[in-house]
Amino acid sequence: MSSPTEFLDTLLNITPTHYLVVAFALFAIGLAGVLIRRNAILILMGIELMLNSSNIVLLAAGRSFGLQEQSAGVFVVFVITIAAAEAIVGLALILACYRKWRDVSADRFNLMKW
Amino acid sequence: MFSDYAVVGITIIVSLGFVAVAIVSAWLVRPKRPSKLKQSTYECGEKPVGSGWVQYNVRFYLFALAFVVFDVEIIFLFAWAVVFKDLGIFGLIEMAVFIFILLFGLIWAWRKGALKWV
Amino acid sequence: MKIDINWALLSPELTLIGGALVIFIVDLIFRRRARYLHLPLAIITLAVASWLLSSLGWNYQSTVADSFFTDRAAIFFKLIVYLGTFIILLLAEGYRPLSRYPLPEFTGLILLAASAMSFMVSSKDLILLYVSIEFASIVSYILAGYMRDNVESAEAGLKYFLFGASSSAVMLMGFALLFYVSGGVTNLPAMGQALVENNIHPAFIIIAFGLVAVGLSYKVGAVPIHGWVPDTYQGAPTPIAAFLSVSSKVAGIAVLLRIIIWLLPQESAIMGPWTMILSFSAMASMILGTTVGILQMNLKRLLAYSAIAHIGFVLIGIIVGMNYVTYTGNDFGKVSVLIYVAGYLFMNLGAFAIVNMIGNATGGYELHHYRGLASRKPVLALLLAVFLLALAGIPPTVGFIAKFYVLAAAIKADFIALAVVGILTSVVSLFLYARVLKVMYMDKPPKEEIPSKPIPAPSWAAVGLCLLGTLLWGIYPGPLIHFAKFCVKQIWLQ
Repeated sequence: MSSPTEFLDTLLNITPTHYLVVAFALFAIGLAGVLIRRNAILILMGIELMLNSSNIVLLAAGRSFGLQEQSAGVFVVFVITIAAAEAIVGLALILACYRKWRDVSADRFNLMKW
Repeated sequence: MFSDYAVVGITIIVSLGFVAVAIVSAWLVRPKRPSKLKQSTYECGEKPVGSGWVQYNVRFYLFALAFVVFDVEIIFLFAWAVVFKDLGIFGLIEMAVFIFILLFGLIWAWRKGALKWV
Repeated sequence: MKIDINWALLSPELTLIGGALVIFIVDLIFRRRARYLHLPLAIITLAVASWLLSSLGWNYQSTVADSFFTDRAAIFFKLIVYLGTFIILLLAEGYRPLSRYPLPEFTGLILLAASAMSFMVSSKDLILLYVSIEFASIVSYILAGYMRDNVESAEAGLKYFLFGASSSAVMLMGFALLFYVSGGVTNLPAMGQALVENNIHPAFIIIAFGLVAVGLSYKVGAVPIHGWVPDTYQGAPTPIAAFLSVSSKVAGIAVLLRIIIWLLPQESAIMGPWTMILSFSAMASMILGTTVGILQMNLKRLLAYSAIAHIGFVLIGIIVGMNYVTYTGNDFGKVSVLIYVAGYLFMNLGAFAIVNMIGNATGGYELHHYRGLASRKPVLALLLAVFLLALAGIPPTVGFIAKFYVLAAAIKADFIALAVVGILTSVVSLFLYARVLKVMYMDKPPKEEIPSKPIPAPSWAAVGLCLLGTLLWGIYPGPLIHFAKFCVKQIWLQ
């Protein structure tokens, strides 16, 4: 008896390619968010999306190589931790800027140019 | 092989269908007489004050930070607990160091007054 | 499960982390009574770490399941990082605006950043590499925005963060793709082998490497992701700007060097495209750094653009080192990178140190603060002139030796276009630095007197060290060149 996820994979005929497509779509959405959004917090959310899309790629790799799944899982755990640390520091910096400008729009941070 | 999971699938479909039938039939049968009082926000009988779109107090943010310290620690603790017997005493010491550093972070935040509601 | 760990190899990094923890604990227990204790503690920690590092021996060793290694080049880069950190600690002591903020944490964070950079230099495993790069970045974000009540510092920190977090997310995607196509290998040399053997379509590898290049280009401040450099340098506390411009970049360069050695074997199909991408980045960095730098009115911004131009030179060395490989000796591309990095450490830190002192004395970093400085602060003006001329590459300084070696390597390896751009931009960069000299020596000083505040002794010590390195190795470069050759000789062992 295989595991539930493997059963679903065979039932729906999901190959690693499908995971990659989802991951790339997420990555593109996150990158678009980073490039288009002007609100610093929304940029941060875009970055988180990008990190999570990489996690999907890593786990897809782990699944398709079976034995190596451990290193993929370890990598993902570290990425999650780092994403949390990064979000904390980022929010603190956004807060520091908010105290000065009463705004978190990236367009506002134009004290220094050229 | 299929039958085991077919039960789960059928259960999901039946429960979804039951809820759908209940909601749709109620929507068809019930009288519709909206009034101002009925449409107001339900706040346990209290009259709602102000808008629902309020900004949360920035001070909660400091507690969120302290929370994340322990939130992320748990990921490593789970992985460690699974292979605890294999790692033996070395793993125990490693994890003790890890938890000490995290605990120190909390003590630091405490002494610096980050946990006080100012 | 038995884990073999050679603790001696890890000891310098662990010492730095331990020292940072001790500084935090001492600050927590003794509070203001121990307010001056953090600097001696940090210097002792750095000294112990350097001593442990030098007692490792020059041979290649690796530990923790082959994920952490040291060899001669790694020790070279780590010594540079530690020396840079030491000088920056001395500078931070003399930086006035910082005194309103908690200093022990600042010092501790600098030590943590140094240990993270040290891990970056030594990582041989994809996971350790990613974690250490992020560790260094996250600590640097905090340091750049450390003066949180200062608008410019907060803005500098936020800009650094937004650039850094997004480009490192892109880099992670590159790492994930490499992990995928190499068949789930995380050991970097093994991954390079797998990339060749698995017969992967070159386009796929080029995309993956392009994504990784984005992250590394941010880390070293080269052209595609250079936007943060001027803003962050201008806004961040001056010692931190110096720290980011030297230690952080040196660690990034070390990672870049290792990645091209391990992940791009000579038989790799994407050598050509990768060389083109790097050449574009190098040329664009040199041209943009010098031309836009000439327009700057703020000394810290000017130094930022000059840093971008210098990274372009280092990239030339890396391109040569990647394409013309002699596995035994005379690997002039990589040798030139090491020489450049060592020279750049002294001249750039020296320039930042003097700018820091003048900023303390005159209260500003704009060019008009430097008007007629030669008549009012002759020593500082002369020292700044020496460091700026070194950055421009004028002969009796180490800047000349560094530029000469890089350009000679490029010509020897037939990268004529790169060499021509390098020579032209160093001529143009002479104007960039001479502009400051003209303001200091030719312009009339303003009427009002500048308050003469005493300059703390640690700052003088830092400047003395930088001056010694700049002039000594400029006049007598033999030992430096020999040492660089010695370090590169074993860079191929895995």
